[in-house]
Order: sequence, then C-alpha cells, then structure tokens
Amino acid sequence: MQKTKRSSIVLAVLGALGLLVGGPTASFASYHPQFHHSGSMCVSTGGSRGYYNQGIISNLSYSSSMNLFCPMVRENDNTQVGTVSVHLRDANHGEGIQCSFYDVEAYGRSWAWSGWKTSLGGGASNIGTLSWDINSVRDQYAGYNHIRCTLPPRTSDGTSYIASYRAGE
Amino acid sequence: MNARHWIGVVALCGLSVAGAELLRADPVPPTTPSVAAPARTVELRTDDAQTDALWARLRRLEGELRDTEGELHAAEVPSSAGEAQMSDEPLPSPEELAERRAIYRSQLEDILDAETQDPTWGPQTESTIDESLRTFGNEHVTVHGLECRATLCRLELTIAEEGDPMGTMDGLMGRPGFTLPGMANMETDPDGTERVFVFLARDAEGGLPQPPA
Repeated sequence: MQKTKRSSIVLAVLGALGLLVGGPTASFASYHPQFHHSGSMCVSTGGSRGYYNQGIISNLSYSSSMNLFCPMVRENDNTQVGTVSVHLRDANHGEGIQCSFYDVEAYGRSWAWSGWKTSLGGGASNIGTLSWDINSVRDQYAGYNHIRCTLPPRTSDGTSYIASYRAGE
Repeated sequence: MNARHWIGVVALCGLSVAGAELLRADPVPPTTPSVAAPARTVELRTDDAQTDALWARLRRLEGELRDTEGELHAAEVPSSAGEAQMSDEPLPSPEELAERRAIYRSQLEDILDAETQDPTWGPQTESTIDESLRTFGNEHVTVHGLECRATLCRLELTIAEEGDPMGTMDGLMGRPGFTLPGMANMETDPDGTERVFVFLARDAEGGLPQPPA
C-alpha cells in the first residue's frame, strides 16, 4: 500500500510538472487572438462627435464630415494581423463612410495603408462591414496599427456611426 | 504533433493514472480515535521525510525538463523569419529603420522600373493623382516625379515645413488616386524640407509587395 501511494504521488507530481512544461506551450501553439474594440475608442477631428452607451461613435453634424482615428491593440511580435473589420451604419445616401487600415513603423516615418473602402448605399437600415486581409506588419517590434475613417454628415435618415472594429485571425 | 504536444499528452495521462491510484490507495481515514493514533503520526512523519526527498528529486527533474524544453524550442525550425526572433530583441534604431526604408524603396523601384507602362491604366492613374495634387492646392508642395506603369505608381514630393508635411499627406489620403493601397516614407533633407516617397499599388486587395523580413 505504501509503495503504491508513493508511486501515485510521484506520478501526480510528474504529471503536474509535465503540464507545467508542455501543456501551456502546446495549447498556445495554435492560439490566434482576435481583438475587438468599441467605436468609442476612436478619437475624432471635425464634425460633431456623439458617443452612445452602446460604445458607438457618430457624427451629429448636418454639414461637416468627421475624421476618425481608431487605435488598435496589437500583440507584440505578431507578424500577422489577419482580417481587419469595421462594423458601421452609413446613413448618408450620397457620401458613405470611407475607411482604411494603417500599419505604421516606429517613430511614424513610414506608414502603409490598405486600399480605402467606402460603404455603399445609405439610410437608416444600412448596416454593414468593411474588411481587409492584412498579411503582415512592417515593424513587428514597435510598429502600431489604427483604422482611419471619415464619417459623412448626418441626414434626415439619421447619423452615420462606427459601432466597433476588430482585428485577428 | 510536435514534442511539446507529446509532453502535454503524457502529462495528462500521468495525472489521470495518478488520480485513480490515489483514490484507490488512500481511503478515507477513520474518524473515530483509536489506540493506533500515535503509530499513524509516526507514519506521517516518515512520509514527510520521504516527500521532502521526492520534492528535491523532482526539482532536479524540473530543471532537466526545462533544459530539454529550451533545447526543443531552439531546435524548432521557424515557419517564417519573423517568428525566429524573440520579444526581447532590441528595437531597431531610427537609423536602422531609415536604412530598411531605403532598401524597401529600392526594391519597389526595381519592380516598377522593370514594368512596361499599361497604356490605359498608367496614364489614367497618373492623371488622377496629378489632379488630386493640384486641387489640394498646397503651395509648399513640390512634385519631383510621378510615374505609373503596370502595377505600381511612384510619387516623390517635397513639402516645406510651413506646408505642414504630415497634414498635407493626411489631406491627400482618400482623394482620387490616393484610395489605392500604398506606402509613404518621410525623410528629412538637410535643409529641413520633408521629402516624401509614395508608392501606390494597382491591386486594391493585395496591396504592395511585402518588404524584406
């Protein structure tokens, strides 16, 4: 009985040790994070900014467009960004919401942008998503990412807004 | 499955077997005091001494396992150049970054120089970009070159400091021609003028060729 018990303790501790060494690494090997951001994380210039409890950011101005800079959390050392998406409502039939994804080198002396995309249509029910597939980042150590959008003026159909944006595999 | 996966699997099996053995080998102790109690205490003390010895041995094993883990990690072939580097790599200096930018620009220029101009897309895109630059109307901007061939466009500008170089570049973005995916490098001339090198890609989804790792 004593020998069996001792063996059991050894097995248990070895098992725990094995998990300590092998377990976390094995599970993280296939870990692909997604980072989701509330639209209220965006900062704005121009227009008239409105924040709502859902975390939405909108342009309340009837005459001016609003520029948005939406910072994005990025995992250190990760060379892949994956799919970047912006979830929005475009209430302006004429102008649409225009967005691009930015990948910037440390110190801001080099920056790359994805093709600018514009939401089509318009109106109170025009909810949609703009997406880009980003293969790799240019400065994996100190570079940073953000989404740059322009929200058109408000119309009788309502305000155009960014609800959220995300990046990840 | 690599070696680390196997370690994890073996560890899980070990835990399962150990758990089952412990359940069988260690029944619920009697709750009623008995004359055998002192002997039980002595047995536990013996167990403590044995457990201490086991722990010492396990610590050595842990060290060996960690060494093995390190060797396994070092022996792994990285799937890309980026993954081969660790997070404690020193950050590149501004000078190193400038050198990398120059190399990348040179590569893009080589690609562009090797292309023959698409007779439709090339002149049309040049005209669109030129129109956006003119309508933007910044007197402090000087265009030193604009060329579109088959898949790429190259644009070189200088923007005097009073012309708000970064604001100028922001203002151009999203305008016709500048909706294409692209890249800009800003380098400072000795007189303080900002020289901006812009490359634009025809492929709206694919973007520019990747820079060197």
